[in-house]
Amino acid sequence: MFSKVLIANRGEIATRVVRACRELGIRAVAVFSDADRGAPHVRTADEAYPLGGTTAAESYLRADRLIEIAKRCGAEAVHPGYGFLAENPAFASACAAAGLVFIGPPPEAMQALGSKTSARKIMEAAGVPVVPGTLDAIPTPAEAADLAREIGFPVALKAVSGGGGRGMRVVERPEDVESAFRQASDEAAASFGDPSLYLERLVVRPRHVEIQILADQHGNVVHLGERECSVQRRHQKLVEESPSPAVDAALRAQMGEVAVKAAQAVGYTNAGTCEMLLDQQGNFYFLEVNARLQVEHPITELVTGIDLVHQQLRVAAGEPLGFKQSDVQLRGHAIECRIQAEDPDNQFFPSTGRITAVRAPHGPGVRLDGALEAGMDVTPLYDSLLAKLSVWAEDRPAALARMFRALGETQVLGVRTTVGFHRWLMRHPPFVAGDVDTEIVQRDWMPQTELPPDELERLAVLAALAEHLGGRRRQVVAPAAEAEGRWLSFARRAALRVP
Amino acid sequence: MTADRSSELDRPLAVTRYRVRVGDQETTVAIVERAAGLFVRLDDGPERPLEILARLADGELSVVLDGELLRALVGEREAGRMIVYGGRSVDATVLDERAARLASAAAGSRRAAAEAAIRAPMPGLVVAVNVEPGQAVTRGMTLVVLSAMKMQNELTAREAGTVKEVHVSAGQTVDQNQVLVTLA
Repeated sequence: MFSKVLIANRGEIATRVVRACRELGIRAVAVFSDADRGAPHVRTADEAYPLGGTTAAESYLRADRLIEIAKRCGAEAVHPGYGFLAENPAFASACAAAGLVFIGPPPEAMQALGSKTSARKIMEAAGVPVVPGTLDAIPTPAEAADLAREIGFPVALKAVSGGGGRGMRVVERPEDVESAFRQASDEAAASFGDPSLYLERLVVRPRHVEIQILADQHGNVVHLGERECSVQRRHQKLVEESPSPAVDAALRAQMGEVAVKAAQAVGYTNAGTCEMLLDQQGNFYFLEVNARLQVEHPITELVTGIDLVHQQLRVAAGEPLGFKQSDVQLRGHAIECRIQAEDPDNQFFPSTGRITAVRAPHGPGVRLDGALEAGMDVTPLYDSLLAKLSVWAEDRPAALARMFRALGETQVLGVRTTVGFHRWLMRHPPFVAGDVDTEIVQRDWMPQTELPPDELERLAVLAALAEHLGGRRRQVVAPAAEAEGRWLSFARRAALRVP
Repeated sequence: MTADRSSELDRPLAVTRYRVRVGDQETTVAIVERAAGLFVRLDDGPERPLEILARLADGELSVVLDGELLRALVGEREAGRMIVYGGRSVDATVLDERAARLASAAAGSRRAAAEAAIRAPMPGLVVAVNVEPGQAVTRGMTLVVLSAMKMQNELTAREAGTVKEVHVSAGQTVDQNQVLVTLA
């Protein structure tokens, strides 16, 4: 096993990896941009080094700086988290060339999967079902329009090098193809440095169901069941659960087998996810393989009892998987809600500002993965994910009730969050019935512009009372980062004092 | 549990009225201090007992209102207060009675102007401006595409109207709350 690992990421996922390292007796090395000096992921690590810069491109995407720091501090391996350089084969190769273990799949597998068009070709050849569409990047908007007419509307334009819904547009009418093509292409260029797009038929009212896979370097591949990820806005996931209400044991075995086949087709190792679309008739189609740890991995950990980050570290160190497919048993039900700094009542727009107070949920069956604390600034520089709230319970109804309870304990002051949306969802009849598809948010969520009278009354009393008690008196909240800085400087001054 | 107003001994020691606005909804809250404790009256409703359990430095305000426990975080916002309660977070404007009367004269015209301005919800880069002055727009139509937080965000018209002025152009960096388009 490694003795020191550099975590090339920030926020909640860096904190998650620090925790796994601690549990396995590995020293965790954090890196940080100028904007993140004093951020939670930095302060929880064993060592921390500055990357300089503020934007992602100037900091967490600087492969050269990351490798230099890893070498200089004596780390043996690099964990990329998700996003940033996690699915960048050039970074994985550069790590290997510098004598560092990249904790993820081999660069060749990433290369094959990173371009969705090449991934589709490989999967088709391996007998994995795919959605009808083109296999190659489309050069011009006009050609995209022609192809769309051929395949039939609605169609989806997607970034060849993309993921997570960025650089993606759904087009319903021929006259909208060209403007959608330009927008998606710009977004793809900005997010992934590659403007190329491909096009495929849109499966109407699909579920988004994905299979977690785990592969060691000795040829063993297992799947850890599915995650239902249909609750999305802007094609990005908000809520996930495992198992999926739409998947029974037989379908799970079938989808799992396909996912294992997909991993074997590219010589995959480490943790990965095979994303699939499941239509209303129970047909499923390969979407893509996410060659990294997923944001929503905690729910799989909760129902399988397998720690995915531990497994990632073990597999990367060359250990064989300690269990077989038949050892993997799903138990109970898990749900994750992504607490985003966004305003659900205003089209889920990102909300920025300083978080002045946080009340975190606790109690039975509750897990919070996050780097959320008072004093933290939410800036437009990085992703808007604040924390992931997951619950486990013996069955789905109990998990829904537990999540509703835990959300009620979750309070974040200073920015808008998705907590209210999640509370609504946990009691939204179609969701409670397990009847979801990827359009549920767009179709059913009504922004709360009018408050129910009893709620307005309570809020008005609280607002008036706060005014009555405090007037405009300033809050005496000390940002946690500064508070610690003050203690440190006090300690330093005390130490320097000559007796 | 209404206060016994017939008793001379229990005459209010002080009554302070506030006008609280949340979105378009407005309520009058009277905070009544009596020897027997604190009471609250909403608009013309009955007086209800109010007990303060905690008012902490980080913004926590926990009270018992007529037997029901309310645990909230209340912070300051540019134009009022932000309240987080029961999974909901709202901005409220709180004015005491005198300030409310002073403000009411100017409010009408100012509110109308604010509603017609399409502002940047966050700092970002203007990627596209889809409208021009004089153009009629329908509700939900995309006016400006703003790139921020690794996303392209489409800013849409909340009401139908006519574009009065376009204040930005593609390629321009904008600050939060900057006016992008004015609708008439």
